[in-house]
Amino acid sequence: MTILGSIRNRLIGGLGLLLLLFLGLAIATVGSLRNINRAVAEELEQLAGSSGLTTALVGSVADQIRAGEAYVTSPSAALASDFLRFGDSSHAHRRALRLLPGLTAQDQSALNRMETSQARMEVAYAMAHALRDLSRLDSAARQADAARGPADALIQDLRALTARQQGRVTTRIQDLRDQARWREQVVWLLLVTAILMGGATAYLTVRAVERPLHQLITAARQFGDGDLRPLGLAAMPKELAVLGETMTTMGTRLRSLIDRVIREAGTIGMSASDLSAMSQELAAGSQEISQAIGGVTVSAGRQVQEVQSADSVIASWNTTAARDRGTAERMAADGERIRVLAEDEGRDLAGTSRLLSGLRQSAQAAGGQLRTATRQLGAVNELLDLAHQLAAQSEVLALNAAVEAARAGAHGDGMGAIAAEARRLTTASRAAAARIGEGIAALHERVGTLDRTIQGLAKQAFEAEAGTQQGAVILSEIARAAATVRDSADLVARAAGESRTIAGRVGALRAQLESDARLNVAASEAVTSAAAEQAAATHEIATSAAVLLEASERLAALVAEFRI
Amino acid sequence: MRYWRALLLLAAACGGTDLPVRIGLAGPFSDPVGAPMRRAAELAVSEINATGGINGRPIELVARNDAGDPDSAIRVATGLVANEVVAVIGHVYSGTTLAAAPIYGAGSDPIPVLTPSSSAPEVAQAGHHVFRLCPTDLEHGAALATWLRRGLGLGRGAVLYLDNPYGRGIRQSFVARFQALGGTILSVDPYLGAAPDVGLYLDRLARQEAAEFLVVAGNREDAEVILAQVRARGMTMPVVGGDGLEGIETAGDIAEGVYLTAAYLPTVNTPENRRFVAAYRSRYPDAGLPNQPAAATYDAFYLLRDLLGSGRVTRRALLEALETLGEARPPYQGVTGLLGFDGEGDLARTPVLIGTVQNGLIRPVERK
Repeated sequence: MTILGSIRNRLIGGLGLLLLLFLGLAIATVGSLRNINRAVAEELEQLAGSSGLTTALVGSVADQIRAGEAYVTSPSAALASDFLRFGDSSHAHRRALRLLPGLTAQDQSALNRMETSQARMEVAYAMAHALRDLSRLDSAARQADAARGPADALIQDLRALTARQQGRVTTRIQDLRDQARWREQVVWLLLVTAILMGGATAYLTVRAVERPLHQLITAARQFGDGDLRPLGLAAMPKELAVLGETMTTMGTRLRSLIDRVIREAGTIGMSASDLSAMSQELAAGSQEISQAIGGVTVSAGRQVQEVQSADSVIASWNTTAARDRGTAERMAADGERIRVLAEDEGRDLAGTSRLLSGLRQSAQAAGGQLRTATRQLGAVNELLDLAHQLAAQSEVLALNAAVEAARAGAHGDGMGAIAAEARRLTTASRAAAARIGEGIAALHERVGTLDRTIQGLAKQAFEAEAGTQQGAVILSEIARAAATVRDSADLVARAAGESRTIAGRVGALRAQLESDARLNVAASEAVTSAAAEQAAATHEIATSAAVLLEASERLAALVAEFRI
Repeated sequence: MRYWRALLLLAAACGGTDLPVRIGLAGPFSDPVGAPMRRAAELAVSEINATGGINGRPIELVARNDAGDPDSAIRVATGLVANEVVAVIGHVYSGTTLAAAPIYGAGSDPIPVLTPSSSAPEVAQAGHHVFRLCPTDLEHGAALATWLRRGLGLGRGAVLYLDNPYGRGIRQSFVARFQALGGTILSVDPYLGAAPDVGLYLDRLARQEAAEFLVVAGNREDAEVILAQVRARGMTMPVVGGDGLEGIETAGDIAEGVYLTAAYLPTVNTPENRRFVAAYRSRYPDAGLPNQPAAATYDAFYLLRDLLGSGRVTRRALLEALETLGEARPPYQGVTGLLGFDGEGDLARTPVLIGTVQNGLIRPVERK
């Protein structure tokens, strides 16, 4: 967005430019007028000063000449004084002329000549006066005539100076006129420029506003006709662009709103249909409730009657409870007796069990000793194996000795003897080993038999012990069961007492229940009435749902007129 | 060429250059009044340049002879403007100063003018750039009248005046003051310079036999001629005059007894004057004693040295310095006295001396 992108800035820029132009115009005009006025005033002042001084100078010179001439014809102190006074006045005016601005070197020279001329004139007249005072009248007249030459020169220079002054003033005035004309042209040019720029600014500003404004009007009409489709606005100044964006946003929001309204209308329609259906169901439900409440009312009446009939049951409940209490007390006495007997039998079985335990322990000790003897027989077996190894080695020795005896031949007799001994030793060893083996085997058999016997005894003792222990356990359990029975009987007795108390409470509850049942009857009747009212309201809801449905359909039809 | 010179001057004004400072001198160097002025100027310039110039820049003296003529003064002024001098010391006579003053004052950068001896009252109106280093004719004439009336006790006399601004100024102020003091003026007659013939006036005065003194309101040369004519007629009355008669002491016996007013006398016994006179006589042993224009010119150069040396070397700065001399700035103690200016460029303190010619010298007789 450029700096001229907004109408405000364009207007400010255009008007500012115009203002500057008019300001410049005014300054130029005022400046020109002021300069011209000042220049005219200066020129007029100079002209007036010059003119006044020139006039005064001419007058004083003339007066001085007259006084000088008069003194020649009729001398007097007054004329002498006038002559001197007018001369001083002339010199003063000439000095003042010299101080005027704008004098040229020519003017200064003219003033110098005028001073000289006046001095010559004054001296001439003064000498004429002296001659007159010396009564030399003719000489005085001639001297006075001689004064006219410088006087004429003075007047001539004065006229020339005046003419130059006037010429300069005329030239200056012409310059001023030219300057004024030029300034007038500049002012006109500035004015025309200002008007053109003002017109251009106004045209550009109006054009910058008009097209976007037309687009916005068209867009507004489009909205007015219900056409909420996107506007598609072109670029425009800042303020109108904001308006266009606002309208676009408004269109977008309206489209969204209409869309939502359409959806909501559909939802309302469906909800109205649902509501209508629900109201019908509600009406049916109300009918069912009425019927159910009727049943409840009847049931409540029957409940009252049943509660009233529960009085006999409660009475028989009290009787039964009293009977149960007596039975329980007897059961408690029986249980106590059983417990005492069981504890006595248990103590006997405990003594038997201890005897059997001692027997079992003895049998186990005998078994241990037999197993020790068996292990010792094992050591004998080891000796038997050694005997068998000795027999085998002896056999080998005998064989080796026989071989060596054969190799030695005749020289092997010794070795043959050794081989024969070895063979005998072998045979003896084997026989001894066989007998030992047989004896050990017999011993093993007997020990085994004894061990089995002892083990059988220990087993029987163990089983008997286990039986007695089991019997003791059973008796203990019987005692505990009897105690339990006794305790239970006590509990039953207390329960029977409590049952009677409860029966009393049940009676009170029954009265309360009867009262409640009666209230239920009344409430059922009220509910029946409310159900009737609900049915009426449900009918109204159904009617409203129909109206709502119709309204939602109309709303949908209305919204459908918008084009989004 | 002008631009190059302007650039050089600008560079000089900014410092860092030894370009000379141009100072104009304008006066009638060919006559006895103006010649001592030029000598004093050359003396001052040589002294100042010998001591370092103005902040190291030497003074270049641009001397132009106006011959005491107003038309010549205009040409001289135009030439000095073209030379772009920083200041002008001159002119001597009131007529030349009045003629040249507008030339110096034209434009946006007027040239300060220090006239040593232009005593006509209207010089004060010649412009703010004109400063006068001497009393006005009004003061000379009034001082002379007072001296004659009160100092010498004279009651009647005649006046001869040179018909130029100076002579008219002396005459006007003298007559007015003398009459105001009760004196009688028997006649007032003008004359023209360069060998004036005042015989008719003297004859008439002799016939009246009443004049106790004769005032010659003119220059020294005029006075010498007139004095000869007076004495030739056997008239013994005192001849008196203004400061224009300065130098008449060299005219011989005929000048003995002449009274005159002076803004400066070489015989004044002040340290500054003694030093100046000694330097002048040392440099110009055959030129006699310096006169008032010479002393004032000498003072003017040293004053310019001090003022230009204390600021920028420009006309505007110099003008501002001169305008405040004696007020914001302390006055300058010169050979001619304490220099400081009033609002019209005249000396704030205007001592007028009365001298008389005795034995070829002007001796001060009274100081007002």
